[in-house]
Amino acid sequence: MSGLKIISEELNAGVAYFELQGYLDAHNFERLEGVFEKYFVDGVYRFAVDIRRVEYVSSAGAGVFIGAVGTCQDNGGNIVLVQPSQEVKEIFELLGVYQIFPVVPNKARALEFLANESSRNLQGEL
Amino acid sequence: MQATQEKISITADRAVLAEIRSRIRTLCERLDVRPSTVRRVVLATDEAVANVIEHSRLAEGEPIEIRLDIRPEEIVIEVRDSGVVFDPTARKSTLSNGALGRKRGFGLHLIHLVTDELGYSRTDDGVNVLTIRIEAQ
Repeated sequence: MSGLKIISEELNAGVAYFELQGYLDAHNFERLEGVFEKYFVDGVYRFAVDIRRVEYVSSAGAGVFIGAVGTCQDNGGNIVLVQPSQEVKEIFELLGVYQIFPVVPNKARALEFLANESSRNLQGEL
Repeated sequence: MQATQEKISITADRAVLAEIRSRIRTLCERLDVRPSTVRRVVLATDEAVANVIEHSRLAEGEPIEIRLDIRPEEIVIEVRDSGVVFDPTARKSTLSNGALGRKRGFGLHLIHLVTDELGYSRTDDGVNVLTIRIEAQ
């Protein structure tokens, strides 16, 4: 039992949605890292991650998000967080990285944000 | 609140981190330690033990001991192991601007941020002793 449940699905071209439950620590962070890497291989760099049911994140867990968002942004994508708990928010704030991530209240808003960001990126390329 | 001391003996295995957090949280809540202080104690201990497991070169299954001294005004945590010399207090803990994209190395920084005092010593019989002091809020 790793203490982390990951439900992931690719919703449409280039956007994946994760729902995480449990905790993310030095024991299980590599599982989430592996899921991000699988999507990167497929060229997916836009993620909506629902972490409302994540009760604890250690530095190793936060490191997965910090590492992944760098890869996403380098490839025109992003990671949108859905409803981090107060405890998880505090860890990201302590590390000074909370403002890096767009935070939204639900899945619909996360997908809307990613769609709008994608449009902005496309307009920038034209 | 009554001063309480507790000793937790574990093996050098990352799988035990969740159990340590749970035991410390339960103990602190039973003693009515404020939630914000409990979060700092749990985080600092979790990061310190994870650091020991990663850096001390203990074989899997070798012991690590956690001693908690919980008093109304402060909580002192000692993490003891017989691994190689590893002094976290001698390491730089700041995050550089290049943190984005980096995956590891944030644990020590977090420990420094949530503790009021951090000390390290090595006993004559080769035990690393990391001492973390957190003032109760």
